[in-house]
Amino acid sequence: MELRIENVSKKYGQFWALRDVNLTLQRGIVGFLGPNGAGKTTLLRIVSTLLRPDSGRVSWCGLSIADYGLEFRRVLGYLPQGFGYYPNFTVTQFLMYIGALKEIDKRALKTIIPEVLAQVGLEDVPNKKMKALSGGMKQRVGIAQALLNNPQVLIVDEPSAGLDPEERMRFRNLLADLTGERIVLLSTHIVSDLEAAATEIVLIKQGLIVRQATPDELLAAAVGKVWLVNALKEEAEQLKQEYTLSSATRKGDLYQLRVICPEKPAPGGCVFTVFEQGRADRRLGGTVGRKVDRSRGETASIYLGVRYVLGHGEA
Amino acid sequence: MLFDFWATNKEYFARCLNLFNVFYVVTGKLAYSFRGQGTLEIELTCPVTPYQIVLGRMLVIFGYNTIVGLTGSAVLVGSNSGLIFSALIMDWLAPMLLWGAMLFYRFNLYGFAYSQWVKSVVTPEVMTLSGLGLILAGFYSSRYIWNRTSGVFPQCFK
Repeated sequence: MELRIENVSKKYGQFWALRDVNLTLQRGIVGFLGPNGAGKTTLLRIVSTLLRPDSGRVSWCGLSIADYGLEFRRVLGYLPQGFGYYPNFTVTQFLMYIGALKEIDKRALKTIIPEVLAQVGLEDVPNKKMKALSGGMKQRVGIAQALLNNPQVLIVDEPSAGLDPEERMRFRNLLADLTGERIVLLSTHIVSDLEAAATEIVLIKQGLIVRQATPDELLAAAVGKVWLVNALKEEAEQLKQEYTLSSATRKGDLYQLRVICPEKPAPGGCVFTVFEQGRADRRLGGTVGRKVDRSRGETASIYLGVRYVLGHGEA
Repeated sequence: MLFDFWATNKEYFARCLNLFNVFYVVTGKLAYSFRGQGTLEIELTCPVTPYQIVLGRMLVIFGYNTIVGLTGSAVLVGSNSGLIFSALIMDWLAPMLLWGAMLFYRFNLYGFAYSQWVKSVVTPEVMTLSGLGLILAGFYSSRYIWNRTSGVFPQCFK
């Protein structure tokens, strides 16, 4: 089971949406992470046979999906960004409709639909109209329709967009349960969507693959490069302009920033007195720098690694 | 008075049956324009071709229009108009079939005018056959193309 993307490029007018993308994907959850407009959706649309690349090739088990479109669609499940539905259909009717498009036998669907609904936790609402469902429930119906044909390649594009935190958590857990004998391609710009489940993370920026790594590798990329800095307002502004920040919170007169940088940050090239945390003195205009220590559980998020790699272009 | 108008203008009413061609598209547009909210993207990733979906939907509307058209034709012929039932049916059914076929090929804007023009130069039988031929050719060629291609998404929004 291997999905290979070779030298894929796509251009919209003068804008390169994807440039020379090369990836080899094995079973597991592969997270595509990058800012809006990075090319994630374009890449997933190419893999899902919706778009044709300007150059390059996508192959499934050695066969080009451009030549074996029908065969590939039979093993494909797809949940697009902004999942569309027929509002007056009930959940079951909608799944019957998609099932018919997937060439699944009507009698088989009567067995499959309750199973997938149970899998996504919607077994209680088979006869509820689509328009009456909450955003999170609609997304779960979206996953259910993608699972109808037990796909070997499941593509999920920005599934948690517009969901409240509780639904997002539920959706993450659901995705984590979907691994097994399939490749799940999950696109998001929210790092926490991937932390729980992703076996591999692909960072995309401006149409280029910046890095393909496991979550642990990304986490390791940030170790020793995250600095906790307390700064006055002016210094905080300067730091924001000069460095990659992962967070900024205000604590009274001071701003506490997480700066991602290989060396100790020194805004404007100034030398700052380093104090122990909590002893920043406004009169001294001092910035307190302290390397965040992974062993103390302070860099538990791969977000820091992602920010570092995206900000510095390498790990 | 209305009855007199009806009695003296049966030919005119017979010609009005051609309006089913217009109903065909209008009802189709109305019935399907507002139903889905972006389902196309999912539908295009399924093994069944978009052409098959369109054909299926068109057949439903075609069926309803045919029932209404047949009823209207029966009423006209039954009122001693001197019209021949089969000829009357072919007069509206053939253009509708041809237009439907052209809709299938996305000639939706000019299909009606074109089908009316074709009606003036070929027999309804030829129109019917060409309409059926177009639909079948489109269906099978699309099936063939669908099996061996990808990337139809942008074309669908042109």
